[in-house]
Amino acid sequence: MPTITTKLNTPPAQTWNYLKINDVSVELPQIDGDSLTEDDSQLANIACGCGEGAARWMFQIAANRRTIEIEPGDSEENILVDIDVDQAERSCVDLIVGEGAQVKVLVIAHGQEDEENLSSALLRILCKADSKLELTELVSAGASSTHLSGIGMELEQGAHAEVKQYSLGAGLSSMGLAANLVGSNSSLELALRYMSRKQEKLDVNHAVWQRGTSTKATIDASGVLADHAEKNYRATIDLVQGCKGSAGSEQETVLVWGDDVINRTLPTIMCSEDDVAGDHGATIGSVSAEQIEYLAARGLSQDEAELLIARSVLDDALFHMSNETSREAVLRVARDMLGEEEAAELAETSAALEGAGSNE
Amino acid sequence: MKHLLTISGLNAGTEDKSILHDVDLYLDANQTHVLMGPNGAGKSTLGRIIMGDPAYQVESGSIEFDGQDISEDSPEKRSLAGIFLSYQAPVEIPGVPLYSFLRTITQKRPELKASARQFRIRVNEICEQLDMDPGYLTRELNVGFSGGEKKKIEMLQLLLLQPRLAILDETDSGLDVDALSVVSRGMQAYRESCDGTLLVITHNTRILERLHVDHTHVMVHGRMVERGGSELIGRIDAEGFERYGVHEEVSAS
Repeated sequence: MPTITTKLNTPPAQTWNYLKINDVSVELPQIDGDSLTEDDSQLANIACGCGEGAARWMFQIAANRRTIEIEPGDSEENILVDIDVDQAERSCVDLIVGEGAQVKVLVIAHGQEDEENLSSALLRILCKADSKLELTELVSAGASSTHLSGIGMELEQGAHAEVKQYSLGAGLSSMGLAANLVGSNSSLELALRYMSRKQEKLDVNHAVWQRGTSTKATIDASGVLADHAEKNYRATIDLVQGCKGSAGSEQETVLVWGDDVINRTLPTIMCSEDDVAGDHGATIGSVSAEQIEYLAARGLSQDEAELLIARSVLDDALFHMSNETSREAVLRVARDMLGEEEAAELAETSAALEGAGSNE
Repeated sequence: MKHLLTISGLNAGTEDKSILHDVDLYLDANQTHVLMGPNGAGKSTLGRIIMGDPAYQVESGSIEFDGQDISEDSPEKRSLAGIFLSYQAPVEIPGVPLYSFLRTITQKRPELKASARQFRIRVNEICEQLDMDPGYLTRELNVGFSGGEKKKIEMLQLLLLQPRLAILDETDSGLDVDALSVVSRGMQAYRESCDGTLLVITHNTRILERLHVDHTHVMVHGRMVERGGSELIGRIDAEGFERYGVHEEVSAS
């Protein structure tokens, strides 16, 4: 099948090309012009973090397309987007969360075969006024597979979105998320947790536009890079003119576990409004001296402290997975990384803790 | 008589500044001690040096815990031996869920090892004791918690680990009345649940109201200047540290 080279995850503000972080190029199967479908979704114009071209491809290639609409004031806790990476599944979901509605969504891309599979998930979301969205995404796939994730969301007045993304492995895990905070007092809490090992590549683009007044956005990324893993991470917050009283914050912490990892980070705050607050920071390297001191005072050596941080990525993922498939996808990584005994302990701990997070 | 902790002739400080001068201190098992002193007296430094903080150097003197010289031991070794330091400003560790942290530090101690279910029950009991929302357990260690919540997490660890010596370094600082009450209850619960020794470093006499204090120590300018019973607390509350040549008020609220 002929392929086309497509650039994904291009950030709103780019840097020098030689830094090799402006995008990631992927060979995608060319789609026959005769089989193109018109994208007449009312969410077709929502920007996704993977980029317009990639989103168009992901829409066209999706074998499974659906639109979910949550009525105003309703509550829906079990929206599942399940992608079997080993079957190269490709999905597109449009989600409209009605005014004052509450919704929980779990997106899982799971697989274990060491085959060159290509899967994708495109998710476009409109959160109407005063609605609440809780979105959890997990990518855990085989060492040669590629999974493309494209998420776009628009938040109206008073809408709140809490997003947790976990990438625990894939030949290439590409995650692009864009959020447009158009309504006043809308807010986004976005967290990325990752574990990349062996020869895995993780490529992430987070782009947030704060347009409404008094909006709030926090982006918090942390994870572990081990062996020969490679990671590109771009985080952009754009405080657009007119977003008075808004605050945006980006933070990244990377634990580099090995001498051969490649870690590239591009944190950006753009601002064309005076009455706003924006900050970003990154901690890259080993665990900080203060953290080591604190953990040592609780009985952990530096190696044990680092192992705790690495293991915690899996712990945290497990705590937030709400179905068997997703839990098993996390445990598969745990067994491979920590061994059977530790993985069993992890599973027991998570089972014992079930329900605790519901009080958050 | 063998003391739980014996500090003899301790001179210590940072690389460029000597802070503690000729400090002698002994603590026996199953007691409550209070260490008071004006700002900058070296109280927190003493706590950190007992814990083995590498930012400080011992120039001379010795620190014995349970009859063993621990002056050269690493902080983790001291912790596993039964020394606990509650920090004034506990550090944030993004990415590490509180529950995973608690489970890991507990499993490191053979005497506290428990099945996942037993452990959860124990943690739940302590959360209830401290009026702590169990939802905190899946949140990241100290990240986004208020000052009072962070102190509760320190108390949770204290009650979970039941160390033989617990040093509480101004655990009461910056707390509102409710949080102060929780911390105070935690200290009391610790003293009642095991025969551990408490060394409370504080400016605040309110935190001590629920405790039976066995001994009070006063430190000024890096020196121990007085040792007495609980009556010393009342006197310092009324007079401050003036008799030691320091003009500073003691907080009673």
